[in-house]
Amino acid sequence: MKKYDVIVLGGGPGGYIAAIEASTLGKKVAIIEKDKMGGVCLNKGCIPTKALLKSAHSIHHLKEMEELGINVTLESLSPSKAVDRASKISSDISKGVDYLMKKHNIDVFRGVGKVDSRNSVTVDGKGYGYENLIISTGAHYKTFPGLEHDGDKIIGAWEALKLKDLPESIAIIGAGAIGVEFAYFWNAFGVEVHIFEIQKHLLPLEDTDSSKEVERAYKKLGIKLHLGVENISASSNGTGVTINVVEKGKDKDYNFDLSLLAVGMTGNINNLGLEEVGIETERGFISVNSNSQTNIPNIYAIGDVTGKMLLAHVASYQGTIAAKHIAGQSFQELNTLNVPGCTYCYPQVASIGYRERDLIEKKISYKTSKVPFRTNGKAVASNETSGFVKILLGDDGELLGAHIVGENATELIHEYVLFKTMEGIDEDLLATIHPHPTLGEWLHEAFLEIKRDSK
Amino acid sequence: MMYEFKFPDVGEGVHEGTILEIKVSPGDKVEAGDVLAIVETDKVTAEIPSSKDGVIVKFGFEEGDSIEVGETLAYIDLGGSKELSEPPSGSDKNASSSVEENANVVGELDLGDGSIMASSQEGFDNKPKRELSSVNKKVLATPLARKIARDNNVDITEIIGTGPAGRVTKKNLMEVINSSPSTQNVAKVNIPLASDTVIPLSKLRQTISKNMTESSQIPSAVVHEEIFFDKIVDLRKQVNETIDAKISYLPIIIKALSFALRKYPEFNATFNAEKQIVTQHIAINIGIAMDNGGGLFVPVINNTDTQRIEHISNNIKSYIDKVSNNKIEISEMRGGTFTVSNYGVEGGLFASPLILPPQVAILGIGRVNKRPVVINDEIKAGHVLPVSLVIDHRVIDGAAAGKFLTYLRMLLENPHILMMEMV
Repeated sequence: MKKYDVIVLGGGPGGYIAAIEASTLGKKVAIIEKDKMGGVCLNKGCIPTKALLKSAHSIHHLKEMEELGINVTLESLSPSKAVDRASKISSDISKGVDYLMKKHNIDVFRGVGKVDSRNSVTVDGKGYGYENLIISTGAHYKTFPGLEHDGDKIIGAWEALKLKDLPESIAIIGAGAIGVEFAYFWNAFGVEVHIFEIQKHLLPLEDTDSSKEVERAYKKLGIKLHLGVENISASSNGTGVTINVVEKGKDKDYNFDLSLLAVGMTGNINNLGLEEVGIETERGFISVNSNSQTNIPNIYAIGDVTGKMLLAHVASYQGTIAAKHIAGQSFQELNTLNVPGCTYCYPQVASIGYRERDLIEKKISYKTSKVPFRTNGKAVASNETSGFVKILLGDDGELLGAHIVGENATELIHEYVLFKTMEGIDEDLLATIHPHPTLGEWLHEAFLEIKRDSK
Repeated sequence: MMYEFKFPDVGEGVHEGTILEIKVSPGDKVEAGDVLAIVETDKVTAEIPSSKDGVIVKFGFEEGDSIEVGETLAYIDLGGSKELSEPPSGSDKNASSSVEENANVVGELDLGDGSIMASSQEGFDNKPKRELSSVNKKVLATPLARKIARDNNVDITEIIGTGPAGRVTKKNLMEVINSSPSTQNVAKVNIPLASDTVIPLSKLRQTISKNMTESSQIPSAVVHEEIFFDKIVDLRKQVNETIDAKISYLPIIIKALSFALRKYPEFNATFNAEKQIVTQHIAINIGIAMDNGGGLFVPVINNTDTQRIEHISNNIKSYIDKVSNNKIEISEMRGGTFTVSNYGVEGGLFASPLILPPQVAILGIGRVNKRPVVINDEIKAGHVLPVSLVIDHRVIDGAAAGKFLTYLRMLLENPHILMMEMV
């Protein structure tokens, strides 16, 4: 039986990055993937959705052209072309990952992997030995009683990506990043979109001010919001789907052509041999320590399957931690407060650290400022005035949390991420000259406003 | 021409000090050698003499400030043009030599030439010197960590960093602050009761504290002994009738001690625990622990075995004077092979003082007292000198300590034998 220093189970952004890191550190590595390299992120998630959103956002840009002095009329929309484009981009990048595996001398086994023992796996029955195992099998869509996929009228995001013939109306259940992004895409392509969410706000995991800003924008776009509802259930009714909710105390039925379920993810932990080998799981995810180790020291788990912040960049980071730990190298532990989160609807939302309500709950003293982009010269000149920069500063001048909403939020957050990771204090940022005129100036302005207020 | 007088390196690895007193004012004319300020470091309190003749323009620091080696203490107008310019290299050499001439005042001066005499373009910048020092120090620490360290009086150079590239992070700092009661008290002096006195440790005290902790790591054992002292009491009385500068008991005890050390060289040794090597020294240099209220100092008298008792006595007196006036120098505290702690002068009979590493033993000397003693089966009143010998038990055994004390006792109880040992 062929033996490896490290075997990685799953070729997504967690797995393939872990494999490259381990190989770079001198280990003999193999990676097992049953589908395409790149995982959900590349093939069914991050990348294709961003491609779709580019199409959607461009439609809105077209509508603003007259104001800019360009007279143009929209001839027609071709959602299937947008979907095909997204597919092609996914498969091209996935080939790129195949190439990376070759370049780093990582053996790739295509097939269904299973943990056989504490030092071997099987791939479609064939056995391979390992010194260390990294499990990066990802996650899949959760269902609840009354909210189950039928693959036809009630679908999940992965099927939604492939939807070329758009119906007239779609109900989206779940107002997290996935639901909100699809809402924007379909709305831009002319679909009547309703979002149903049991929490009081869209993007309930973001700071409340960010959620409210997106809600305002979505109302203007004509997306209908049903927030704070209870007892949501979806059932196919032959021609479409009926959504039953309790809204403002009243029992209501809504009919749509299609419904998207985006209510959460759960780890891919079944049929992997985990129980037989004794790997502990909790509430659908594999439990890990700060070294990304499971309860079995030579078996690691990373990414969505651990349930720690379902983000590709976290999976990758955990991957490098696992690889470094295996190689006996030092590493900086994952600090969830320094992990940025991005949502790519428009206006975009990007955030890091605490939300204001967290600080209030934890009784941490803070100062805050919120500077809207409509007062920023570049934003006005570029016709991109939605959103704001909001920061939360601690008593020592350190950044406790930052929340940016706007056209380019996801590209502006990086400065704050660096700042927070390096433990900068307000004086440092105030001393940093930001170029004018840019949206990024507002990253400085937010700090300046707090300084002005405290005088 | 403006000259920037920088706080010189006073040796012994001293990096910084606290300015206790500034002795001159802007506008004063000074000559090379005039004392500009008195700076307390963690080893010694030193007078800092000017290396140039000129007129004081201004000081870079105030009394009570912390100053680091290499920082500009004072700006001196050397005369000529008032522009800030680089002192020509010729004057650098002059500066070095005049500082060297004054070496005896502040002890051995290690000139890190470039860092002290290099000219600077800074001039009269108003940047708070604290920020500057955090840039000059090569401690990698995040801005947040530095601020927390400053606010909590924690020395960031002593914290091990676990951030990227070994940077000290807030987490590292909080671990220290939350586990160290003394820093907590210093930082969070919220509402002391009206009668409480809060005293942050001085640099000197902090160093003493550190050294004591180090000493306490030595596995030690103590052996106490009582020495019948009547004969020495009489001897001293006789001696003091014949000389002007009266002697105390200590120089006599030190003399006897020196002979004991000569006979038992394993006590006159230093132990390198890392290399597991004991070095027995030929020279017998005895340090005498002295307190001046602000700190503990141990000036050393060299070659006590060959020095006249009177000479030893004069040395002791001169050291006492220097210590009480904070004028003791680092060089005077170097090279000790054995130490005595004469607490008996203040009070106390038996004690177990802490050994000064890397020495292997210390002798505590208690209070000479008169009490009932047994001589020839009869009880009489007699003087007794209590002594306590503390040994590093890694390298010296109890039996050896007993033998050493027995010999010392024999010398002091029989001054004629003591005399026969004299070189």
